[in-house]
Amino acid sequence: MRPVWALVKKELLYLRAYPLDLVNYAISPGLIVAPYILFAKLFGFDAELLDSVAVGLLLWYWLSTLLGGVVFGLEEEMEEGVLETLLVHPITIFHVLLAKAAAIALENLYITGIIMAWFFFFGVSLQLPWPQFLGILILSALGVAGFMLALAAVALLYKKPFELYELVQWGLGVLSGVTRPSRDLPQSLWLISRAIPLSYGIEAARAAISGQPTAGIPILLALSFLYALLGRGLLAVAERRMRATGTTGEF
Amino acid sequence: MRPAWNLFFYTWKTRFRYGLYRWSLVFPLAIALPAILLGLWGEDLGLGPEFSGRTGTENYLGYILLGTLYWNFVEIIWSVAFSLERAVREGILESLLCTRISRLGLILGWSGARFAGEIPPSLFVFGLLLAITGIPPWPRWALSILVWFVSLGASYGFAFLLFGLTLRFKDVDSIVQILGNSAPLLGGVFFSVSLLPQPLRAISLLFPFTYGVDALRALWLGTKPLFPLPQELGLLCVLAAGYLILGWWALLRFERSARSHGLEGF
Repeated sequence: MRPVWALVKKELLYLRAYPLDLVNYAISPGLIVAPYILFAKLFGFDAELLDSVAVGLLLWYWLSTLLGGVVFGLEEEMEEGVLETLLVHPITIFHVLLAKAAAIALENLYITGIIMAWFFFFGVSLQLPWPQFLGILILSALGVAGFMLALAAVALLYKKPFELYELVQWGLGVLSGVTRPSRDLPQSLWLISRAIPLSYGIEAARAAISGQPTAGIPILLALSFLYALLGRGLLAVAERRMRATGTTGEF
Repeated sequence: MRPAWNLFFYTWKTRFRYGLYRWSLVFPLAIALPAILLGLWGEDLGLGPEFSGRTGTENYLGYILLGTLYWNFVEIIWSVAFSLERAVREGILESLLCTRISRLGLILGWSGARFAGEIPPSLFVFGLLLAITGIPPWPRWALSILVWFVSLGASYGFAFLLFGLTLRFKDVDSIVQILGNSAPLLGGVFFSVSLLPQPLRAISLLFPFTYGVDALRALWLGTKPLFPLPQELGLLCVLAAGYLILGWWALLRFERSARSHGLEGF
């Protein structure tokens, strides 16, 4: 675990070197999710509906930051030529990704608090049961771990994962019911949403804010485990192919 | 111009090099989908009249798609700063600056390739838009094209400024993201800026894109503009010219400062 902690510390030290990143985290996330809240206001959504949209956006943003941070972090290591250095160290790519995910999860706690402040500024006074909500966030983060590993595998093989990342993050969001609950989607899409762990996370968060029992957590955990196994397998294959072809950077 | 053309083709080819470009075809629609689902939900709840009362149109799909298309092209121009940042990270900026390519050539080459790459996915969304709204009558469609062109000019002003900032401060990802995210989003991509809280509304009126997207929707869909249309078009043109001049001035100034501090990343 020691190398992982060293990598987490390295990631967090970036914030000391580039404190503007913290300013960015305080402004950009709010401006990215706010348009959807304001669009809902154009339809005159009441407070309860706005809360439902806001909590979906909060969870989705948290998890897309996690996905993006890890995948683009890996892409940056390749562009800067650091990946080869990491590969000759006694740590695996999985450990590098784990460290990045841990650092981003810490940054995300700050981002989540700031987005809440933005929501309040836009007239959505979301009352979250924090301990329960944080538990759901952590479980949902486990739910995207498999997707994170799969995208990292794509980054190792294809070097420029931006387009696929965008598709995955928006696709997961829409199908998980980020704005409109997935139960209202057409039946075929609803069936797909049942295979996405984030759907259960968003549903649990919505139930938590309305004081209802949170169902679906066992399914979320089972799916998370399954996707993590698949993702780990894909990452292993991608790493083996990358080493065999000798393309640790762009080619 | 030849070096700029070469940079354009090199960037264009790099885009297709790794085989994942095809996924970007659905990207503009992906951004719009959460808003489209909200619109469908609002309609199912019988809240359509609320929307038309606030915007002046019942066509929320057209409203969303126009905003998405507009944002897509505006963003693709100013995001040229990311190409520069990548060159710094890869350590090729000094090599590029040793070639005969001018500063403007660098910006036009990179942004041109990004722009060209954005056309296929945008055509798909534009086709959907035409299917939903049709083409507005003359001279509205011509004025819409004019608004789009002037907005692209304003976006180049923004690109010059961000390019200069990136040269000077190297790891300016944060500044680029703050400015880049706030300009189009505060400009009201999916909503009217009249819904923004007062301090943000005041800031949003400083961006030409606020007037651009609002005028485009007024011309194409007949929505209620923030200001009378001739006034709004005038404001858009004046701000676009101002952004271009100020952006170029800032670029030259930042580059001078960057050269005295050292150009590569640290």
